[in-house]
Amino acid sequence: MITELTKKAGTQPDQTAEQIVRTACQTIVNNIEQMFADWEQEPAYRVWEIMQKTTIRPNNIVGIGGAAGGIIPEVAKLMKCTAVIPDHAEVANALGAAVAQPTVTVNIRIDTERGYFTVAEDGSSGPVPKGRLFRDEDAAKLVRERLFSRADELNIKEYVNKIEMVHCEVFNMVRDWTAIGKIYDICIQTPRNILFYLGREEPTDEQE
Amino acid sequence: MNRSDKTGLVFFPAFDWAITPTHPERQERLLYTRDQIFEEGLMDLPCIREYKPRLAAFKDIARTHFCIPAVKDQVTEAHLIAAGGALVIADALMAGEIRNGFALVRPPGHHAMRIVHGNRGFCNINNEAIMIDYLRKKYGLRKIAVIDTDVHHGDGTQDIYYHDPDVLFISFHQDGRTLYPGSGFTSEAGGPTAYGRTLNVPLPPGTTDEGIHYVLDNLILPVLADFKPELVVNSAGQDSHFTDPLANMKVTAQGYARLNEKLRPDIAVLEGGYAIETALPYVNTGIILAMAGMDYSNVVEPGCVSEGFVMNQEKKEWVEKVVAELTGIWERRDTIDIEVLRSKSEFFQRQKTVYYDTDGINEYQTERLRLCPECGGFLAINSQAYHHSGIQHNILALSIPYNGCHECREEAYEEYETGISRKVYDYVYFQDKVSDTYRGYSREKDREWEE
Repeated sequence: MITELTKKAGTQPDQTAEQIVRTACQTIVNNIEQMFADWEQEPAYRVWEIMQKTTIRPNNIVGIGGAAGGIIPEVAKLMKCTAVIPDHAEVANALGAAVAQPTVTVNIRIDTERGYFTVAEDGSSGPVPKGRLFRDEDAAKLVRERLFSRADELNIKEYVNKIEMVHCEVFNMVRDWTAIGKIYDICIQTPRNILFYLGREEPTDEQE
Repeated sequence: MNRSDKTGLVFFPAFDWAITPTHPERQERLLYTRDQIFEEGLMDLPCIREYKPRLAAFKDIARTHFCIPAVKDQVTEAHLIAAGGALVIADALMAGEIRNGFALVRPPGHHAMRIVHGNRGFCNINNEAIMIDYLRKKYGLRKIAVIDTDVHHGDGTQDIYYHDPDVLFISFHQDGRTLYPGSGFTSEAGGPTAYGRTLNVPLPPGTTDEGIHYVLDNLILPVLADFKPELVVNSAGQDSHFTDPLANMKVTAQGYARLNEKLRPDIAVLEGGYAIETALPYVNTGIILAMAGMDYSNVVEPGCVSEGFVMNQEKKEWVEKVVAELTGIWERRDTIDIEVLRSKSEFFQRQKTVYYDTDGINEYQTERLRLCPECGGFLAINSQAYHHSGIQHNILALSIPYNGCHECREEAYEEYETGISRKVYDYVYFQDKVSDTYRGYSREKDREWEE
């Protein structure tokens, strides 16, 4: 194919190959730039989200996969970044799959007007005290309990050491100018982590 | 207006802003709307393009309003984002990226008048008017029609364009004798230079889809066809819905969607609507689908009767009578002889009182319009505000229209300087839409500033 293209372009094969890599890299760079632009344009539904005007651009371009060595240095150069190609980059995805720690997530909705909760992941539900009898602390406790219970069911309880909150929304339920309950939408999960490092027998201190 | 096949959407529910936590205009007002439009996948439709709102500049606000003492004292970031959301839609429309657009934003704005001493009817600044004045300044649009479909009279928008013959303002709403703000009668039909360009349609409580569509078919659409605006704006309140807690009408989501299908607004801007669970999710979905030219026939809210709500004969006759009266006003719109008025006085003067229900302020205004043979004439407004907290403000505001002539600008500026030197006003303002400069003067600080 290179030969055919070379014939058409009237250049040498190595020059054609270089041109192909350059074009591919520019396409990748354009897509990365567009991705950042899209993130900046992502809709925001709160005042503070709109007011937060950080423009983020990368300093390092990390490449993994078989073609990383041929592409990443050029991409990094175009973006004025440092190219990082880790050891075993060719099989990094497979290694990642082997050492990734199992995780568990729970999305819960608690409606204290009606007095029940529902977990999106397994459809489980149950009663909660209505109105002001149910406080924010009770919501935090309930969602943790559901996460532990789900981890137990999935047989991965030993990996639940730390919990992080991904999302939390609380809105009043108002009837005739009086708040009579709240709706909580909470998502918590165990943090993403790796089980062990290559060449080491035991889990490292870096694991939390 | 252009060849795009997309409907633009700015959705800014301001989940972290409220007047008070249990106020009708509160954080979760658009929460269920969000759930509905996400669950229906509206944002993923190829014909819908979602935009992120931006902050309107203080100058954008000062182009439309006199904020007392200054813009920064009357707006929060949420207000700037809501107004900015409308500006984003306006820019996208003018750039040809969308064929129409809906700014689903809060806080609302149609009760905010030209002078702003505080919040009234849940509004501080008028999102539609700020957008219209921006469109005129940036893109040179002239003739614009605003159809106010909120259940409350759009008294703020009416006030801002009362003397502007190039802005047609039609508001249909529940009769002011039965609902806030207590105005919007057929007799309020525009100043002498813009007579008939304000049309108010007071409707009886209990008006149904049939009633508002009678008004649309027999008054609004024919008047629009006559007026030939360059842009149609729907000041899209949703509180005529049969479940709204603040009003007494019987309009359905289907009624609202069909209204938008027939009206075909270039831009819709959300106003009121306080049935946050039972109306807004359905009405908003219906409006979005209708604006996008899609099938909305399955958007049916709980409690909606399949055969539709029925109006009794008395109410039907009421609506027909009001429409007939307003058709007459529209037909006579060019019969006022300004020369006769001008020969009696150089200025047309009116007085009004304004109550700010949210902030507890009484305002007394005297408005003078120069009956200029060359341009729209400058406005001189003297306003005294009495806050319940005891604060009093006495201000003078001069406003030059877009087409302001040299003489009006000179004369208004002279009044501005005289106003400053007389030292009787707490604040004096000069709004020159020709040069796009907006100045204020504080007597206490003896200092001028520019917005």
